[in-house]
Amino acid sequence: MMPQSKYLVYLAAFLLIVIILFPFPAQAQNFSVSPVEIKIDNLSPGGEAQFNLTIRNKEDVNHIFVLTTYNPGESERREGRAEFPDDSWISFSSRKVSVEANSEAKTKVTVAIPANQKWAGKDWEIWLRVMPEEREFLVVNYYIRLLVSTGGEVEAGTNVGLVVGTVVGILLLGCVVYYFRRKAEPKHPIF
Amino acid sequence: MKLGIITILSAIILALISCLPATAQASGNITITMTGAKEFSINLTPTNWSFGTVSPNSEYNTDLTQFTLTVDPSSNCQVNTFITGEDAVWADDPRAYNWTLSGEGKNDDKRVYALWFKGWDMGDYTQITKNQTRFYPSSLGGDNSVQFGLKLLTPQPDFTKGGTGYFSVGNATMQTHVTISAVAA
Repeated sequence: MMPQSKYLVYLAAFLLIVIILFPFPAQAQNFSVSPVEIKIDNLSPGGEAQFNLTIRNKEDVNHIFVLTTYNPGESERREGRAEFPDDSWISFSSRKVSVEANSEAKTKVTVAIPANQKWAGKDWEIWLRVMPEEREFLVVNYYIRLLVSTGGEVEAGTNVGLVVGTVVGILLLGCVVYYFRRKAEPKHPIF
Repeated sequence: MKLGIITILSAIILALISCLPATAQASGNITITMTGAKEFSINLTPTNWSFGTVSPNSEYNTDLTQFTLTVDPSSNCQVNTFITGEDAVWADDPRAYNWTLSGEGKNDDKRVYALWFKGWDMGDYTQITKNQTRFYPSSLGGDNSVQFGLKLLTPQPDFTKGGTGYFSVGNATMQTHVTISAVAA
């Protein structure tokens, strides 16, 4: 059986109204990113483009930054730009970037548009978000504008399977024809 | 023998033909333009804040100059700024007890709280929600700064006893985050 004093402690804890909005410890506040805007023109559906982002940590301690994408509302996009259709077309060499104190780190971003004619001739905008992993009550995030314009034609990729298949198929056909021709030839000369 | 040679040559020609469209497209001009010369950086001070001990269904305000957002003087482009909030969670066990950030500035339901911000030179308080909204109405440039304060409306009591409302956790620390984001204008 629980002692009565223990009941009193639980009751007191239950009735106390002590709710505090309180922060987490140290986070990255002083950092910057570059470039602040990237414009990719004439990227054909089926093609891809790559570029580097640089994160500068201006503090005396190491920090980790997380990279994601964000689709801004129409009012925040550049004029004439539509929403980027699928953020899975954008990939980062690493979603988390560790940057040492007072130094910078780069991460590679790849934009790959699927090979479909419906994505030709489009003008899109999406933002790349850089945020510190450690966060206090007030947090700073940066966005990089990514403007993508696609070309007019679908880029046909090298179909390795088709090429190899065609070569092998024709070689096999040649072997079969050669085999039957040899078979059809008389084995012993007729006098 | 002749047939064999012709067959092999045909295979090579067919393979080259199927490669041609890809080779032609790969030589197209993709232009990547980066505005690398532009850079911005913003600072927030202080980044920590505690409202102290709070009661259910009550409002708490910070001073309107409590927080300062400064665009770093080295920034050489204008920036647009945005603000978002999050649910508040019990620091000891975030899954066990939390408050949902209201999207309507109300605390009609239990465990729903609301947050607002107001710049010292702005009109009324603006609600902070989980959806990103503009922080400062116009763009900010290098060395610009904005002072602002926050207002908190705590949730309705989880239960009432003897006419007094209580939260169902006592002596607890609730944590939340307010995020200010910046993008080149």
